[in-house]
Amino acid sequence: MSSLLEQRYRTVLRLLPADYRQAWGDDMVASFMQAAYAAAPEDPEGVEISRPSFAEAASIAALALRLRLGGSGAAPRPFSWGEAVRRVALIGLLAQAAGALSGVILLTWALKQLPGAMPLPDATPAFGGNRWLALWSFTVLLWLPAYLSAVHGHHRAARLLAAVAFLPVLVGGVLTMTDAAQGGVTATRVAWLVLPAVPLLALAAFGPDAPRMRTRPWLIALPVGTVVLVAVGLAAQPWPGREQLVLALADWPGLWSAGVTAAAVACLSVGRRDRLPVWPLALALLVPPVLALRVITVLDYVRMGAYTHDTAVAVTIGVIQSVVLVTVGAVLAGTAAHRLRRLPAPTDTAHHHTAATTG
Amino acid sequence: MAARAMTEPAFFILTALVDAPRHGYGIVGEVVDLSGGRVRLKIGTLYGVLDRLVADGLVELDREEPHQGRLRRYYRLTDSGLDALSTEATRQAANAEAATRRLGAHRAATAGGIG
Repeated sequence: MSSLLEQRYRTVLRLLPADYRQAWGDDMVASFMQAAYAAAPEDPEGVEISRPSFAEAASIAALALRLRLGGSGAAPRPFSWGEAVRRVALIGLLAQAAGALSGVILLTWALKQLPGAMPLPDATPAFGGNRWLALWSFTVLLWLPAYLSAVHGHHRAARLLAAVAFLPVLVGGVLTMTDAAQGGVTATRVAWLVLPAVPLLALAAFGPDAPRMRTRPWLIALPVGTVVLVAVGLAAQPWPGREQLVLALADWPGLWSAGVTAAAVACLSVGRRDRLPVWPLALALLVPPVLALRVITVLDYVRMGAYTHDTAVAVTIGVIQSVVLVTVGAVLAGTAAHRLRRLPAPTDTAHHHTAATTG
Repeated sequence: MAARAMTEPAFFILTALVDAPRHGYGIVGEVVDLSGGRVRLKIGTLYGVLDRLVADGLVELDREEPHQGRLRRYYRLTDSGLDALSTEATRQAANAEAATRRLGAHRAATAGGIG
């Protein structure tokens, strides 16, 4: 009968893909148990009722992540998942970086610091005169080096820089949520924290085996995205009579919804030249956080302020965006699942090395 | 394997298998000795690297032996594994030699400056 420690270790091993567990699991248990007994030879009974250390469990979790989000040399399915998550990271960082650049350009414009530019109607920045708040608003630029590092293949630096860039977002979010006068923890505030956290977490897929990517398209995407966002920002200035309509179309969740929808339409209409379903999978992964943010912000529109004709327009547009996102997400997920199923199963290609070399 | 830089755990695991086939825990212990106690492989790390070394044809299964009610697998280096390790050891030795040469020159210059 196996000991409690072995049972607990086997539970941790369940993090690993089934085919990998089948090939290596028993040997891992044997090595682990031997190490555990050797570490405390005077107390075998104590060993048997102990738990795997955090470090051992973390090493299994890291291995599971690397196997499921494959890099170069991985089987087609885990490689597709790995590539999709890597693209989620890049898209998320691109959005943050382009959003930061466009935000700073518009802010500088609003402060009348852009020579030759006509003054904007909305020329009073939200922080009104507070230099520290002004400085704080520029911390969004920290996303820029994180994105450029990821694009250029400096993955470790990208992870560190993205964590640094996320810090002001986290601090701002936590300060607001712990301030009872501002309403404390709300779904909206949590959702605003989750969206920038997505690329930060997805950067974990850039392991040592991550293939080199084509840098040029991602580098071009940054100025293009920035110009688009500045144009949207200018269009969203509160010219008389268009306040709510513009707000509903050009708020951040709305822009995300439009971006994901446009990318999905392009991806699904281009056809199936790629054998691996990387783009449908990546976009399908982006839909849930974007949809959550869209739905929550629409509910906020409903709850906040007087229910005017403008609010009704904003809510209607938000509902349409949500329905489109659900539809697009379902089609993307269906396409990705269908094409993933057609790929050879991992058991055909990987983790059977030991069997192949036995004898 | 040529396209991928050899990691430190992979280097030590291959080195641990040069003189004899070893089982998983045996490799862990040998790597601790080889690295002067600096590298202590977790089981997840060991089997992550072993899986890759087997896939790359640098390590293969030698035999299975029963031990206290469990089957213990022993792994051995292949000829490709020996070549890869030899190449990596030569590369690391050349790097170390270059660094040592520069450090020697720097020390000599510094000593001359002080004196």
